[in-house]
Parts: sequence; structure tokens; C-alpha cells
Amino acid sequence: MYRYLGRRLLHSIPVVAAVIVGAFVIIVLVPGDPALNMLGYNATPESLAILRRDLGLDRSVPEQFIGFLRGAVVGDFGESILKKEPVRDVIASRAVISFALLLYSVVIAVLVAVPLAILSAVKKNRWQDHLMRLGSMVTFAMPSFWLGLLLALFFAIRLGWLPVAGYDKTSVLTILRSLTLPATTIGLFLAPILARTLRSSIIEVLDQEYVEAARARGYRESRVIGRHVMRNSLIATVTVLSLIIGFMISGSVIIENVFAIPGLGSLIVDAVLQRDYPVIQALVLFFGLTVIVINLAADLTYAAIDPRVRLITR
Amino acid sequence: MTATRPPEESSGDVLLQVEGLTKGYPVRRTLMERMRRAPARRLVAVENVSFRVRRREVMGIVGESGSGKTTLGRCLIRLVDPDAGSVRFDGIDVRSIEGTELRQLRRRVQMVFQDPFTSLNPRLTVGAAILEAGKVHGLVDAGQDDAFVAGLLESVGLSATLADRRPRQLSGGQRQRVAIARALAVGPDMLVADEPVSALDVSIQAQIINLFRDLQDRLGLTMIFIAHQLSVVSLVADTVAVMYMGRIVERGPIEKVFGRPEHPYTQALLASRPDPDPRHKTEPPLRGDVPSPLDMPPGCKFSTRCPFVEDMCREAEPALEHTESRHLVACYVRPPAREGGYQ
Repeated sequence: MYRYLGRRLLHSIPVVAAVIVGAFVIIVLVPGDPALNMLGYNATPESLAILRRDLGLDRSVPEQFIGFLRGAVVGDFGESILKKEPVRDVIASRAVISFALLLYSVVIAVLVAVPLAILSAVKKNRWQDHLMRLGSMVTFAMPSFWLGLLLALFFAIRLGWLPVAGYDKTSVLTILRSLTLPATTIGLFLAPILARTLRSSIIEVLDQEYVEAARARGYRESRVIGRHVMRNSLIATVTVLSLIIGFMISGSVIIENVFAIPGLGSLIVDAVLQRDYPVIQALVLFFGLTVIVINLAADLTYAAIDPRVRLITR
Repeated sequence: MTATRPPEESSGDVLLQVEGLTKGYPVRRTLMERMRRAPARRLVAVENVSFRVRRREVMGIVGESGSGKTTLGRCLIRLVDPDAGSVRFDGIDVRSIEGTELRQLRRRVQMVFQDPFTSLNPRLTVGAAILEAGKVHGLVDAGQDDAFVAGLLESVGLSATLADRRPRQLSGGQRQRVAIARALAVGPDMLVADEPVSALDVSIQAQIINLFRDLQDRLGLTMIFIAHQLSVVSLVADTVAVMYMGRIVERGPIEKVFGRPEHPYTQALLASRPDPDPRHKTEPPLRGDVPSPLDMPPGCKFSTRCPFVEDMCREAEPALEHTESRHLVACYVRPPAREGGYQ
């Protein structure tokens, strides 16, 4: 196991390096003068010079890279040009919101997917199963921003139950209310993927003799499914979930903008529009590293569960 | 084996009574068959099977793979729903009960499955599996969890220290003992052991058979012991039923059925048991294969392979009838009884 861990860590070094170089290269490859792009053509030569110095643009490219690398290691990416705050603080305050949204979405996805998957697997090839599979195909195929707009139209505008958009941080309750619609949108996008994986692993486990043996001992069906079937089928789903979370980080960019949630997704869009280069660089690095870490964690869980994985990739 | 063996068919203390039990499975037609509107076919696994088991009796069921032994066992506790016939356990009509009553029946009639590698939940420790069985049926006193598990493990000849192990850490023989302990945890009246030793190494088989004999003596369990090995059945059973293609062809006390078999199939089975002496060259007593259960011969199902076959065998199916030696045989011809060589 430790050998496997070591090997996987070794494998991720080039990926991390590529992400760091990629994040750095953004500022070098920007056409024209980044400082001019940021401040606009009305800027005075003095303020341009100050910004160039702040960004380190007056130094050579290798020097800039060393500086960037040093900053990346200690988490110092300079100051946001727009907000006049350290980039680290801007990202940290936004990341909390994004993380809460992600967690809320996963909870909703699980709450929707688990009962559906059980129903579908138990009623395999009956109408309930066909309905679930058709329904999951439809919600999965639906663009999430459109689904989000439909949900907002119905629950916020027609029924008035929830805010249309925005993030009200007066209390935990208002935060939950603000996050409900975006989380539902992401959750409904995730649920079909989870439900389908779970359905097939439940079907596989239902065929096992120990399930029949549990019934033969006179257990209630709820116990047979809840304790004997689910415990053995959730493993695959947990892995799938961790893999999708990496993928979802990009999906949340759209949803956060649709619902005006001030998370990392809307931050990156703002930063791009306003040419706030330090923020963009930091976010690219942050997203890249998050995906790497999550994938690594998924691989390791897999290896911990199934020892064969450790051997195959040797 | 046990001295208290009542004569067959006397109205003793009957615990389980099966009459005319039948179970078939619909066979999915191919697209071509459905387009041609071919009739739906059924694969008959068990056909018109009747028998009784008395309290404390051990009944063996033998027959080759596909003869319906397993389906029969599963019908008894409705893991499979029979199509026709009746199953009465201790006066309860098994086919009509649902919910709590069915779960109560399943508690009283426990199964031990063939393969201890698949019949134990891989995620549960030995102790957790045994404890759950007892707790579900309210048989564990408060604070007595460990003692309950330890007692059961010891009763099947395992150390109580195995309670924390998971199935994958155990050998095949140990796993089957755990499966038996788990079955005993719910306080059953009857065990249905479905080929409980055929997945195990030969050296382990003897140990598990001894365990069954020991448990039967100590707990007075009624048992149905399903196996394809005659030697295994002859070691534990008081009575035996021989199955061929879903039917019982011969049934009675074991010393009669195995000692003086009258059905040609039973005779062939007994003659084909392996002989460890290489100097004894034996001709295979039967030729040909078992017919496809989808394409059963008319009349006696054994007529295609029977060395004594006569015309009437191919026309109508013989019923189980009493022989002179007071056991039941389904055969018109009844070739002279041969020494079976057992007991």
C-alpha cells in the first residue's frame, strides 16, 4: 500500500509541475502589456510603471517564474488588483461558499439517487426501472444552466419559496435558502450518474448468495437491503462520486453565475472579465491542484478497497 | 444411526409434509420464437414431489446436478415460490403465509448453503453476522452479546477468538462452521443443508459431516440434507429420497434404499460410486446424458437411459408405489434388487 502511495505521488509530480507552469505562462502569453490591459488606455505612465513593478513584469521571465514559484509554495500570490486585498484572502473567503455549495449538492444528489437506485434495482426491468432510467437520461442530458433557470422560474418566481439569486449571509438559514436552488441544480445533474452506478452495483449484490441467506434467516426486506445490500454496493459509488467532484468544479462556474453565488466559480469569471491576473493565476493553480488531490484520493481509496489495483499498475 | 427411527409412512410426529410440490421456470423465448408465436416453454425443476419428515429425522435428498434438489430446498421456506402442491410445516400452510409469519417460519427452518465463500457477507465480521441473526429474532439477552457469539462459535467447534475475523480470513471449513453457527443463532427447529460439504476439501468434509451428526444428537434438530454424494448422505441420513429430473424415483429408510435399491437409477448411482481399488475395473453402469429438461421424454423420465426399459415405460409415468420391502419406488419394471453395498 505504501509503495503504491509512493508511486502515485511520484506520478502526480509532473502533473503538478505542468499546472504550475500553465498558471504562470498565462501572464507571459497575454498579448500586449498586461499592465496596460488591466489599467486601460487612459492610465498614466506612472501608474503603469508601479503596476509592472508590483507584478514583477520589469524582471526577466526566469526571474518572474522563480518569484511565482516561491509565492506558490507559501500561498502568496500578491494582491488582487481589483479588490486591493491579498489574493489568498479573496480565494479563501470565496472557497468556503463554493465548498458549502458542493457539499449541499452532493447531499441532495445522494438523497435523490439512493432511493431511486434501490427502487430501480429491486424492480429491475419493470416499469419503475424503465422510468428511472429514462428520467435520469433526460436530466443528465439537460444543460445544467437551463435546468437551473427552470427551477428558479418555478420555485422562486412562480411559488416564491426561495430567492431567485444572490447570497444572503445574515444567518445559517438564509445561507441555506440561498444555496438551495443552485445545489438542487447541481444535485440533479449528479444524481443520474450516481443512481446508475449504484443501480448496477445493487443488482450485482442482490444476486449474491449471502443476500438470499439473509432472507433465509427471516430478516425483513428493509434490513436485507439496508444492511446487507447497500453496504456492499456503496463502495463503487463513493469512488465514482469522488471522481465526479473534480469534474463538477468546472460545472459550478456556470451555476454560480446563473444564481449569482459569490463562490470561486463567479470569482474566476469576474477575474477574467476584469483582467485581474494574480487572481486568475492563483485560481488556475488552485483548481488544478484540487482536481489532482481528489483524483489521487479516489485512486487510493480504490487501492485500499481492492488490492488487485495495487498490483496491476505496478 | 439413531435408534428412534419410525417405520416409513406411519403417522408419527410429522414436522414437515410436502404434497405434490411443483416448480417450473418460464423460459424466455427467442425473438424468432415469439414472431412465430411458438408456445411459451417451461423448465420444470420439481414435479409432483411428496414426502414427510418427522421430528428429529434426517432426510437425505440425492440426485445429480439439475435434478431439482436445490429448488426443492428453496421452496420449503419460499425463497422460491412453488407453482403447485402444498408444504405444511408444523401445521402451518407455508404457501399462504406472508410478512411476520413467513419470517417466523424462516427462523424455524434454517438453510445452510453450499458455498461458504459466497453465503457469508464479506463486510460483516463473524461475530456481527451471528449476533445480527440472534438479535433480529430477539434471542440475545441484554449485555450478553459476546457470550451469545462465543457460545455459538464453540458449539460448532470454533474458537471464540474468531469473532473479530472477516470471512476472507477464514478457511473453507471454518466458513462453513460459521454459516452453521449463524443458522443455529436463530434457534431453528429444522435445518435444510443444501450440499453443505461439496465445496469443501475432502479432508474437511468429514469434519463438517461429523459436526452435523453431533448437532443433530445434541439439539435434536430435524434435517434435510441435500447432496449428490451418496456416501455423504449415508453417513447422516435416516431416510433418503432419490431425485431424477425433478421427480422422486425412490424413497424410504436409508438401509433399504441404499441397501436393496429397486429403482434402476438408484442401482446405477450406487454402482457408479468411486472405488478406490484400481484393480476393480467397472463398466459405467449408464450410457448417455440426462435429457434436456426442456425436452423431457414422455413416460418415465429415466426411460432414455434405463437398461431395463420396456414399452410401457415410454408411455406413462410410473407413480411412487410401495415395494415388498416397504419403501417407495416409481418403476414399472422393478428389476431384482441388487445389494447396494451401504450399511
